[in-house]
Amino acid sequence: MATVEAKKEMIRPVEVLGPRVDEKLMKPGKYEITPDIIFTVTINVREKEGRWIIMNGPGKGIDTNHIIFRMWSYDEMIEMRKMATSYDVTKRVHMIDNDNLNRFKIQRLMVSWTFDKDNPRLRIQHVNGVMTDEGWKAFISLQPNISAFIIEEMNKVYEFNG
Amino acid sequence: MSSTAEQIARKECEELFDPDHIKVKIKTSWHLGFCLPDAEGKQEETAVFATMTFGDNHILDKATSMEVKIGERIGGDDVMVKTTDINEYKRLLIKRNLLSWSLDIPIERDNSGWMTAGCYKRVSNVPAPLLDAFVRKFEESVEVSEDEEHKIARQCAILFSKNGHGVTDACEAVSLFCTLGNFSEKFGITKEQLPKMAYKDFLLLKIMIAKESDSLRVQNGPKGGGGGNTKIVGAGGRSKASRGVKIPLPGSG
Repeated sequence: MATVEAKKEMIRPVEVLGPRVDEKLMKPGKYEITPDIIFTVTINVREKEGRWIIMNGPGKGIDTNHIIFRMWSYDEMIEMRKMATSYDVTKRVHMIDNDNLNRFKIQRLMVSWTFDKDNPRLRIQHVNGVMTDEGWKAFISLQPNISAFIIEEMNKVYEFNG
Repeated sequence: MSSTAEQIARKECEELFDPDHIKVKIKTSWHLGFCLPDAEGKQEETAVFATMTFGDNHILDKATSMEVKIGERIGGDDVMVKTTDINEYKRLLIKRNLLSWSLDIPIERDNSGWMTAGCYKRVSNVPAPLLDAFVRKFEESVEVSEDEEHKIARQCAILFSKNGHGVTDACEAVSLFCTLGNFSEKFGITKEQLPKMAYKDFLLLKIMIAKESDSLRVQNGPKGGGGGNTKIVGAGGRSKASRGVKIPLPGSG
């Protein structure tokens, strides 16, 4: 009598599945950062004797400009701080170069500004989410008191919780 | 006043009976459309971290250590020193120790105990100031502050001096060292067992240990005398640890 051997059980490789479709479609939680989560720094300036002075609020003869930033995520913060941290071999401590850190913040987190409305030369462009060198040059070409004000207001949100 | 005392008691109780977890609370408020830490905020967010163990620190330290050149030898070889990438350490700390929180992103861990990559992707998308505030507060529970270190040095200088009779208002380090040292050596009671001990038993044993310590001091003192007053250190234990390590006074060479 013929015997039929049972098929040997095939060992199937374990499939590594990505996120489920419903998870993919799920909206981000209310605490998660998305590219549309932005904040605006407003600067009011008035020209006096050929230089721009920062004013407290809008008014007659005062130019108002807006600079839009997006919020940084924890991972972005760690990455930027890593790039700005160096080891001081004399003091044997880690030092954060705040000027470098501010530059990274401007280049990676600044979305747009209104300084380019009258001057296309100041248009900000990004490549792979990072501001181009031309954009950075446009930023540093601003009067130092203006750029310092923008950095200060930006850091109020990033470093001092708004 | 009483509510503050109760809050402290609750916190101490959590630490004592759940030593594996550290609960961190941050006051927050919604500002500019995102949740940010705010000392005067009306909302509160909570995160539970696994207590940082020696093993955790060892793993994270090893994973994030790097060599930095600090100079050159005469022969031309580089002089290197090992240091930790503190930023990467913070990232790994989240993956390793964050267990749960009040935020609407579920924390998922794989079998090895690490946060899954998918979960970390969502967790790391939280506003940086908020997550950083959680991490900083958690780190406070691990760090020994400079003030604390100075206090330990001051009290140890007295405690381990030749004629030291103990210290009053012992800091946590001295109290832990003396209490645990004595109870472990004499009765084999560990740090985990001590909080469950009947308080009366603890008190009785503490008095006995202090008396024994005094009597030993009298016997070993000059001309069989010396010694003296019974002083009890901190939460308990004899005034001087039985196997104290002699710590040189700062600046004594």
